[in-house]
Amino acid sequence: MKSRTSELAVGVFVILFGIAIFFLAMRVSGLVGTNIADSYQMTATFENVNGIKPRAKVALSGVKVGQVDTITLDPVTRLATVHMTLDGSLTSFNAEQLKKVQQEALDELRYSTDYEAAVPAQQKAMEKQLLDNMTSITNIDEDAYIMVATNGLLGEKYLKIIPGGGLNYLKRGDQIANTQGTMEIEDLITKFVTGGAGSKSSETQEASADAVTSEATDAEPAFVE
Amino acid sequence: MNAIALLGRRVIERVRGIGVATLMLLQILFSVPTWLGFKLFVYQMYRVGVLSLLIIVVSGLFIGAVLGLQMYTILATFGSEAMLGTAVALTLLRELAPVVAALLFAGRAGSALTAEIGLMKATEQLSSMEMIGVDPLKRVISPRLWAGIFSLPMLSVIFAAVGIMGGKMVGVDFLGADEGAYWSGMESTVQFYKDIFNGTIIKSFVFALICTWIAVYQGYACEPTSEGIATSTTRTVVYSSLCVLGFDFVLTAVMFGGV
Repeated sequence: MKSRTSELAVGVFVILFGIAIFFLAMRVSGLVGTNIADSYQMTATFENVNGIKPRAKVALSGVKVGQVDTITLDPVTRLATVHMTLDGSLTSFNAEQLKKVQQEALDELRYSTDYEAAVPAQQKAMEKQLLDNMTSITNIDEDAYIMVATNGLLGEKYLKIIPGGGLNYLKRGDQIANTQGTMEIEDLITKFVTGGAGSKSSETQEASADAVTSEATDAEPAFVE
Repeated sequence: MNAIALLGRRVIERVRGIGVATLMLLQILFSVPTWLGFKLFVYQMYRVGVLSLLIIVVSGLFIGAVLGLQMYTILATFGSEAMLGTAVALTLLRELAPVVAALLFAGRAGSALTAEIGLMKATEQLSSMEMIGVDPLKRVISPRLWAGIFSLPMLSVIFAAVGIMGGKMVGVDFLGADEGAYWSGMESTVQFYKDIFNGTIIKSFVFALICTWIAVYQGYACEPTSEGIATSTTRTVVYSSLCVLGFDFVLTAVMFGGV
């Protein structure tokens, strides 16, 4: 009898251990939580991904829609490519919304000069090609850009997708073209200090104006490319 | 001259003790498992593991609660309460769960093992076993050692899980940190292999081996008097605690130092 009770107690102990390790694996490390039913890959190329680590979150309007898988460095362009997994259920249209989006795209196509110039057969072909192109689209449009953002003042870095206003949507597996890498606070301070020092004399005012414009052109590729 | 001889004798005794302990450990680790041995092991699991469960759960809860409280007040001064979950989970998984569980285990189960085996030796139960042809190493020492080695990692994992719940209870439910940030911060930083497997399980496996080994050896080698049992029990707790803290530094340096 004594051995039976002890065996039962050890059984309960082992079950408790199982529950604890399951809890740690699921809730704490999110080990099994990455299995999204409908997931797909996307990439983005950044100038600077300082602070982004694998498993960092990818957010769209503050909602977590995926996570970073790997970060690779292109040896030729010396840019960092971030590969991420996104959740299909949050970043694609349902059937009804897709129809509406397709309708809008068709409307736009019908007003284009190419379309009006074409013969009806070509028009059909163009419409078909447009719809074929829209089979596996996401709700991230081509004008959307992705940036490295910080959670709070000192929090961890994550990727933030900011939707644009475009009518053309990216497909699954595409690359998000518009990126903005990590903003290093030292770089900002350097710019501020060098920009501020120039405005003392009138002669250097031009130089500082130049600096501003060169800054603007410097900053532009970060958004465009 | 006498003093030097005394020093020499001490050193020889210590080295011999370590040698005997190592031989005992190797003999137990490489012995063939038997069905009777397994039954004895299960019973010792009950005594060493299950009976330590209460102290582990209660102290885990309170340590988690204290961590939640301290971390919250510290992090709130930087306005980054969102890091609370990460801080509590990493502190518990990497350091506190294996170390505190091992210290409690040395006090709760290790001392009991030493006293029990020591009393068996003092009342000549061990030598009478040898007399009737039963190997006391297999019958008495081995199930206790295995039970200790297996139960401490399990207790540490339970300690960590309860501690994280305790931290959540104080930080989120009482002080009002954000629950979503608590869990998601934890999920995005804690890595299963590095923090849970390496940090908690491997570490406490090593601590379990050290603690139980010291406990059973001190019991097996103790002077068969009431004073000898008392000395051995004290030594078990002192040596185990020191070894755990020392090895913790070494293991941490090996596991997380090179990051």
